[in-house]
Amino acid sequence: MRKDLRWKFWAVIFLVFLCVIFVVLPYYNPTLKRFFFKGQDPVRQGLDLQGGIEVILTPDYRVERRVLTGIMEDLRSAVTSIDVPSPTIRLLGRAEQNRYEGLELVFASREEAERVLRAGVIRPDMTWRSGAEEKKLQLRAEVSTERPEALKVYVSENPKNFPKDALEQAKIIIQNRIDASGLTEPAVWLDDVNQRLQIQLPGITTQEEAERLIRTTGRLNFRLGNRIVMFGNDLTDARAGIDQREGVPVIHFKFGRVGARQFEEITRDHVGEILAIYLDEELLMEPMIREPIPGGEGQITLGRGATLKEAQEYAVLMKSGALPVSLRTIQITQVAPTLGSEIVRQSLLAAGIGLCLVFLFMVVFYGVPGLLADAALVAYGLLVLGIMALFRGVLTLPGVAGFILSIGMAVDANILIFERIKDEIWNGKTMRAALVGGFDRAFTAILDANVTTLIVALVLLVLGTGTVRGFAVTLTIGILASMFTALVVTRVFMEIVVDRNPEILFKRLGGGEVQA
Amino acid sequence: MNLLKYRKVYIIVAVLILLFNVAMLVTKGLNYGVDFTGGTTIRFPLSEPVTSPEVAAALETPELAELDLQLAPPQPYAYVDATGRQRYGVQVQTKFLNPEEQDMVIAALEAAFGTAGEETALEVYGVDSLISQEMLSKSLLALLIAGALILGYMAFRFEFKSGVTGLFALVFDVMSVIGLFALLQKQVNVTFIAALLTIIGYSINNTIVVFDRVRENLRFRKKDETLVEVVNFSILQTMRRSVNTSATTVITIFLLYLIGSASIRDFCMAMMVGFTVGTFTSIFIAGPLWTIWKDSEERKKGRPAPAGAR
Repeated sequence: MRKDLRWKFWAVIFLVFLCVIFVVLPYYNPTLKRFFFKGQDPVRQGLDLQGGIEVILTPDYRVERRVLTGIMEDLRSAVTSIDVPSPTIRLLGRAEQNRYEGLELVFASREEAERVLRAGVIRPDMTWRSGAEEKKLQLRAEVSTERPEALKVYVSENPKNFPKDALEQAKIIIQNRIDASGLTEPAVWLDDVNQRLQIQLPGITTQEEAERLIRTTGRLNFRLGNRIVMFGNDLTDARAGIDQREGVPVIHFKFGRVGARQFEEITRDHVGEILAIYLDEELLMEPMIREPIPGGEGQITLGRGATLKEAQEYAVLMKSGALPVSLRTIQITQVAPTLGSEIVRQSLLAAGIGLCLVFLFMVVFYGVPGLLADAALVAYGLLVLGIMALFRGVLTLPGVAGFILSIGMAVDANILIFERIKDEIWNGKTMRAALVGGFDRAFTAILDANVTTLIVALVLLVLGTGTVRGFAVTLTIGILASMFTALVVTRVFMEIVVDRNPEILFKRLGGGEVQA
Repeated sequence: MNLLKYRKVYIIVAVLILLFNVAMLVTKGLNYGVDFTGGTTIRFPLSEPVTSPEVAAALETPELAELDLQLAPPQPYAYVDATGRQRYGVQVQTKFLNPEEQDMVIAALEAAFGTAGEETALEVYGVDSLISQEMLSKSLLALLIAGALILGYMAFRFEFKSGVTGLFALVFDVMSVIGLFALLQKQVNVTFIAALLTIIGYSINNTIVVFDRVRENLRFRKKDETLVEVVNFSILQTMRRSVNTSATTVITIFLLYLIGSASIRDFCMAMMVGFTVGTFTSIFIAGPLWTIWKDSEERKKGRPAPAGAR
């Protein structure tokens, strides 16, 4: 055998061997699985195949009722200042975690509404104050499409009210919460540009389970009377326990440096008062301040009737509520695990039958070279799975489609090459020369075809979301791998055969099959 | 065989079909899924078939009335699963529900039709209008950018005319699938866009193989050979490969269509139609259109174009 062929051949075999160890064996051997993938599957299945719940969260900048009622009078006086009769003002939209879209100002006539809008007395910025609390608000007014005599004023908090890395912090908190739950393969992604937090909880079947982890996404706050005096951002820990002396359940809590100072001030000035703990607008507990609490560490004693379990729940809520910003759900996907596995079965069956047909087709049409191409296709499949596993890619349903499509392209490259070799043989070249010529001539077509498909795949990769991106990933990997297998693997196989026994190849490709 | 004899007829027919599809799109419009309109779709499994009004009535509780669900007529469905069991369900589409509202709706369905237990296949998909708008614009942007980049690449590797004619073939393919989905009022969602982009990739693949042959054959063009002859020969040379390749892929997707559940079927249908149409356009539209254009240019110049189309 030619020397370069020998090492190329063994390189291909080695690569395939690596893929088998990396991708196939871990399914049967837990040790390998732990070693390579921390016990997870080599190729992870997407939510649509595995079942589970996915939510996408975004910061909730809408404001609470108390803030809206607070600015109502400001708006009213702004309107009357340009001699428009006082409008009827009501809340806009429906309550969601006690937050509303804004306010609706209903005037006596359309002219009045338009005059207010033109005069610009509803300023785009406003500040709302109540006690120590201050909120910068953004306002946007427009004439209601349903009622022309009404103005819709959308009110939202200025994102500058929140720390820049608020979402990043939220991500870490939610990540910790999910990790503590012991779910297998949960995932949290942050899309900083679009301000999105994507959370996948595979294997979860009911909303209640997901609820505990993702729905309690409110902001923890402490109130004296009805005023918020402090937020829970800086709460570093909250844990349930049993008080040694009294034998009742308690919650130990701990603040960071800034929070500790703030908490000390509040407890010092308000001994004997009730410091209510809220999650957004929902009351959690109403403990009394017994004494000043310095150093940011203390405990809340629950009443006699309380159980340890209750204390644990409160502790979880307190800790989870320490999000720097409230979040709202903007996308929910829930797939039943049974459905997912059904789809996997179907796709595997279809892919299996499809592959068999393709294999058969190649052998019937192209004989021995077809068989070699089939061998290259097997190498191709392993290679794609190997790369997927290496980059921890996620296989989604469209991803399976992308895989099938790239198989088609891999076959196509082989067909192109074989047709070219046939032409060369038809033109009277020897088998060896035809092989070289065929690969050379097919190359431009394969390159151009693959590059354009690659362009499409990359566009999808950049602009696509969720499952579509999964499709783009497998398509990209598939295209690159298919070019490699067709141009390198098939060629090595064929050259080896030509080296040993050109007659076998020649018979089918050159003889009976050629048409003008 | 002279494929190009009726090349003008092909183009006229193609333009007519294209116009028909555009008309479908304009008059019927697309049935956008919640991806693009915002809303929540719940696929609720049932043990026995129900009617649409029954489901609608079940959702008319006082609590839900307060939510203003914006309920579309519920659509009952039935299918045979992979194990051969007959299954039923109903698809309920509403405005976007937050998790609490979603629980209320599912609870109402469970109260009326029994629990959707773990063994069943409850599916929920909800998109807030906050991002559905963005999804639509991003999808359209993806289609446009992909088209522009392909045009650019083809103009660079072949020539500008190849890029334009290749792009026309692509528009034809994509519009055929869009027109069909408008005609059948099948739901258009993000997965459909992925299917369209795949069709684009696949169809341009076929077209490029033809143009690649033309490019090569023009290099060895004999003095007395007409352009039409060269292109005709090139198309014939590549035709078997195109048909072979497309057939294998379409068969594989057809299998997935037969075996697959309702959620994959539309995806597979789009791809099957697109690939089939794409194979035809690469043979009967891209090449012939390029020939008409190039030929008229050569005639104008009064001499055959220099060998080789770059």
